[in-house]
Amino acid sequence: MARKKKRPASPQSSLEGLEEDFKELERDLARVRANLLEFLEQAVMSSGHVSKQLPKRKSERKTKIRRS
Amino acid sequence: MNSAAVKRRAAPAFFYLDVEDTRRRAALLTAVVRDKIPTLASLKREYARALAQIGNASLNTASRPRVVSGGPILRIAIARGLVDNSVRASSYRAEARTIAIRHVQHSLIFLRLQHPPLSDLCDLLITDILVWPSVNALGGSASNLLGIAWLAPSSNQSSLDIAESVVHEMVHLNLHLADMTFGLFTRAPGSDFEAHSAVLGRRRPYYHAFHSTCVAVAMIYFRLLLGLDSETSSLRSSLRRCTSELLAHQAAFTGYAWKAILAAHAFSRAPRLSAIPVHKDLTRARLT
Repeated sequence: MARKKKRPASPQSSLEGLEEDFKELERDLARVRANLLEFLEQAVMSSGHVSKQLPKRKSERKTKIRRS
Repeated sequence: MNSAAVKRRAAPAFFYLDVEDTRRRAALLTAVVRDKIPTLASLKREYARALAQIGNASLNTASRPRVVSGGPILRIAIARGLVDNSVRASSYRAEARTIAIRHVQHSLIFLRLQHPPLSDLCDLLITDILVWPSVNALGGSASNLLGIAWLAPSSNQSSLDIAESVVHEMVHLNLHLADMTFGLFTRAPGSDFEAHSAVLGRRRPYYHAFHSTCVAVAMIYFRLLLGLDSETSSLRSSLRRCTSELLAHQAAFTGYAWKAILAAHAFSRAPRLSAIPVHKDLTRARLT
């Protein structure tokens, strides 16, 4: 059975899509700018949050590593 | 990266184990800091430059992490409080440094062979791996030194252990990226509290407890993937306790973080590999 050809988007609707994409991107970038500033402010106030991995307890890794 | 790659979509619950979402956040951060949207080919280089600019640090901009045991990365890691001074530099000999670097490089190859999508995440988010000994810790990372993962060498660690540590630090760095882009914590007045840490098993500030939630999910996933099911039960119950406590403080978290807590809580009860985005990528890659 012959498949129906997809109708190409009209130039006007594709431009509207692009404009919407651009607006979304602008909104996201504005949000990132605000969050980045807040993050940097917190990092300065806290002198950076350091996350450290502590040595494992002996019982923690009991399983022998399988070799395949 | 064209505009479609930074196109908005619903935030995934396990965003810190999602290659597509992570690339999008890295691209947005790069766009804000460097004032240009990177291509997929230039993403790592431009993202590393953005991190170097944010942290005022000289970072490696190559496509894969550089493993070092000294130099400017060590100096800045000490200056920013990431690495402690529990072992004297003079007692860490050149031969031991070379061996430790090779172990880490081997573990990165192990990770790449075991799980290419997880390895892709580590390659993007980690610029430098610093190998430096400590009697107090196995490694770490810091929010004021993004891109750098510190690992303390240990002779009884296998490549699997080291790979797990690399994934552990990658998750921390990915959470910092999420915090910088979409925000994780509301910092609303009165939202400061302490909760059980899923990884350390003691009370910690809520933002550290949130980090531990996501790291625990990644560790459980990694262990289940490698057939180490017996090593997940205590971590799962610790994760359940941690997420139960976090769930009592919705006001402290943004929608993005809240979704992650809900998903982690469900994962602690019934961990399904297929729930994790990188696992879907891995399965797809194996089928094609």
